[in-house]
Amino acid sequence: MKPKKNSPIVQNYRIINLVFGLIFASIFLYSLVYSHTEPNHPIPSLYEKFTGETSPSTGLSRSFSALMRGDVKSANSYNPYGIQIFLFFLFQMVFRFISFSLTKRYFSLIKGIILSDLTLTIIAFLLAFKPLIFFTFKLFKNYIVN
Amino acid sequence: MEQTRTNAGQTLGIIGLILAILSLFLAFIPCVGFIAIAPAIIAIVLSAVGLSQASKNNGAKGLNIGALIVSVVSVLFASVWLILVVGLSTIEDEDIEDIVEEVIEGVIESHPANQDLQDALEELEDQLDKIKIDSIEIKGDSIDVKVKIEVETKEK
Repeated sequence: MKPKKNSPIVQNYRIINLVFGLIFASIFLYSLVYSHTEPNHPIPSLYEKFTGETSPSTGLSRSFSALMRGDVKSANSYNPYGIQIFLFFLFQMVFRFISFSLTKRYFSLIKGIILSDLTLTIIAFLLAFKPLIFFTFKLFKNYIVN
Repeated sequence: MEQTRTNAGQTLGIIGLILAILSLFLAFIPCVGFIAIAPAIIAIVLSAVGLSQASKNNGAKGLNIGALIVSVVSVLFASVWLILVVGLSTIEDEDIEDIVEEVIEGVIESHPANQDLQDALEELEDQLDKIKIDSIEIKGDSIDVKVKIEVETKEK
């Protein structure tokens, strides 16, 4: 059965795209409001607070703030994985807004679009977050072993 | 006759899926990983209620099932962080350093730039092997310091 223009699957996909587009946009807005040169980011590294150690995500907010101002060199020094995660979020934001606006036009292809979206997003997520995922698994493994 | 699907449970499913995906993102960021447990639990509750509503009123269940699966995975990873953070905050600082240092070394080793650094280090070591410092003579008085270094390579 072919999906209709106003079928729940089309409507739900559009809403989810819009919400995620806005969430990603708010991340960029947050990075733009807070400067990387002043340590005033309201979200602290809770991991560092509890354990006293740094993690691969330490400096990610400052890295994003630096990238929003075009300072790639500083961004890389704050967090070496900041650029790849920033690019993932940027791609996601653009893709969400494009999907939101085009889904109504190509509603007949909705199942294929959702399947491709899921596959591409999962691959991009694994590539961008690879060091953080690796750290999570390794830390847990070492903690259990020790 | 084909039964038409209703919108029952769809709103809860959408909210549940959004919260579940957000918690999955958070669960892989070490700095805030354990916070993900709160939205993930809310997502489980919402998608379970949504699924129940969809079952009763012939609504589409796919969205709620998807939200439920993603939120359960998020809860698992967030729990890992919670256990780790609570556990690490109770053990000695030196033990934490050992555990974290070992993990960070592993992460650095797996970094794509690591091979370039290793190659550069080997090249530097080769160059150092070829150089032999024969003598270092330092002459000094109260005003001037003269440094004389004679370098002889092994290739001569």
